[in-house]
Parts: sequence; structure tokens; C-alpha cells
Amino acid sequence: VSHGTVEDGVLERAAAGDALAFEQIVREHQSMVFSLACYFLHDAARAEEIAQEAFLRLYQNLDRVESPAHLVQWLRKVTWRCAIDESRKNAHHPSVSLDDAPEPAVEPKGGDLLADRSVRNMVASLPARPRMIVILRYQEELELAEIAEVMGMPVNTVKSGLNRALGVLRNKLTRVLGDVTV
Amino acid sequence: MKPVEEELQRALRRLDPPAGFTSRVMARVQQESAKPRLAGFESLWERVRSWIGAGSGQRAWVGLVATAAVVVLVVSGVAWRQHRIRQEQRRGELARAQVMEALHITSVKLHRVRAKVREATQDGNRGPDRDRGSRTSRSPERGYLGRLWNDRPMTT
Repeated sequence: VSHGTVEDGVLERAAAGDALAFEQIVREHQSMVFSLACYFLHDAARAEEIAQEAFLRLYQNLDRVESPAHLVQWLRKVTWRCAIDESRKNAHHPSVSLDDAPEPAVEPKGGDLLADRSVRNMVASLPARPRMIVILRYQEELELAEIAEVMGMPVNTVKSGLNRALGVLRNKLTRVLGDVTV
Repeated sequence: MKPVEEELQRALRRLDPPAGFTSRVMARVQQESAKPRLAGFESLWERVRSWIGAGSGQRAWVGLVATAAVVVLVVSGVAWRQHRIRQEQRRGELARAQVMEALHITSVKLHRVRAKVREATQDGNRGPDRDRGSRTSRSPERGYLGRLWNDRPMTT
């Protein structure tokens, strides 16, 4: 999980209009942005649209981004806003399932792909806010305060949302996988 | 870490976007940079949208609440103005009705007084003691003029 790994000066060059520098930023963060949208929307095609939109907004607002760390947080916020808007607009029209999405950036080490798919489906069945909390917590490994900042919510709300979501997921996982120790 | 959390961490690994994603983004960026800069109101609107969209949920809420407050203020202003106009109309109608009633009462009273005066005049002309004694010596309580004198004042 990257936390502002864009090299020094790349941000400034991109803000000055250097297309190659901006492309470098896109390559650096596309996996994060796409995954957030993909797990949230459970739809690879719509996730790509959202990811493109997020980078376009970044391009339009490059002069407001202060540092590489700020850039990462900014992208997460915009992705969250775009994804929640998209899910409200097209609540009942999934087109391409997440199961058809590309394989993970890091290959699973002996992990059970079927179990992973079940877990993703369960995450996708959560309500919007708890879903994004879970994704930010376990995909991005963010602390509660960071999640609260990205989503614009109080930390206690994030904490209770996460606990409730974990309770639901634990019950479902126990039923489906059986051997998960809770 | 609990097992459920390990499961989540493993299942929610980062995914690579579809092939050609970077090129598509850069194509959109080039299209965007080729567009002429928006001017005037359109530009302002884009800035507001961008400000709300790029910010936290809290900022978006602030924008929504501000918009709602403006809408409520405008609607309240219009409703208050309508209420004032209706109130003024009601007052005008009430005043008109009072004037009409006062005119009616005055007219009725004048009519009665005129009738009594006419009656008294006719009565005075044909009375039996017309030529006897002084008019001033007669008690005002007697005769038609006396009755008119003693008549209870008409109340409205």
C-alpha cells in the first residue's frame, strides 16, 4: 500500500503541464483508485469509468495538491465521492460482474480463490458506507482516523460502522465457509 | 489479527485496471486540455462543482446545507410577502365594509329624522289649538314635537 510514493518533483512537473509526469502519477496510483471503485461498485466497467473520472479531476486540480501524501488522500476522497454518486445513479444496473475483473495485482499465496470471491460478494452486499469503510480498512490498511478523513465522517461513526460490518461478515463467513474461527 | 480480518485482507487485494487504462486516461486528459477554458458563470459553476466533489463528505454536506438554506430563505420570503399582501387585502375589505355600514346607518337615521320632521310640520299646521296661546308657552312634552323631543335617541 503506497502512501505518497510519487517521486519529488513529479507533482510539480505535472502541475506545470508535463504530460509524462502526470502519466507517471496515473501509473503509480491507478491500481489503488481502480480497486477502491471496483470493490465498492462490484462492477469492473463502471469502476474503470470512475477511476478515469478521478484522474481527470486530479488533472483539473493539480495546482491544489500540496504533496505526494496529500495526492493519495485526495485521490481516495474523490474516488469515494465519484463511486457513491455512481452507485446512487445506477443502483440496479450492474453490467460487468466483479468476477470478470482482472486478477489481483499480487498473486494470492495459496489462498482459496473461491473463498476470496465469496468474501468480495459479501463485502459488496454491505450498505454503501460500511462497505467503503471495510474496503479502506482492509485494502488500503488505513487507520480509523484516516478513513474518517477520507469519508468525511466522525471517527466514532467509522468505528461503529466497521464493527457492525465485521459482525455481519463474520456471521456470513461462518455460514458459508464454516471453518472460519470467529 | 482475527481470521475474518485476514480473509478480508486477502480478498481485498489491489487489482490492476484493464489493459490500456493509462492510455485511455491520458487520452481523456489530452481532450480536456484541448478544450477552451470556460468563462463566466460556467467556469464558476465548474469550480463550485469541483470544490464540492473534490472535498470531503463534510464539505459536500456544507454545500448541500447552504443550498438548502438559500432555498428555504427564498421560499420563506415569497410566502411572507404573499401573506402580507393577503393581510392588507383583508384589512382593506374590512374597512370598506365598515364605511358601507356607517353610511347605511346614517342614511336610515336621516330618513327617520326627515320623516318625523315632515310629520311634525303637517301636524302643527292642522292642530286644534293652533291659534290659542303662545307657541313658546306650550310644554315641549306635549304634541308631536314633544313626542319627537322625548323620543329615545336612536342607537346604532
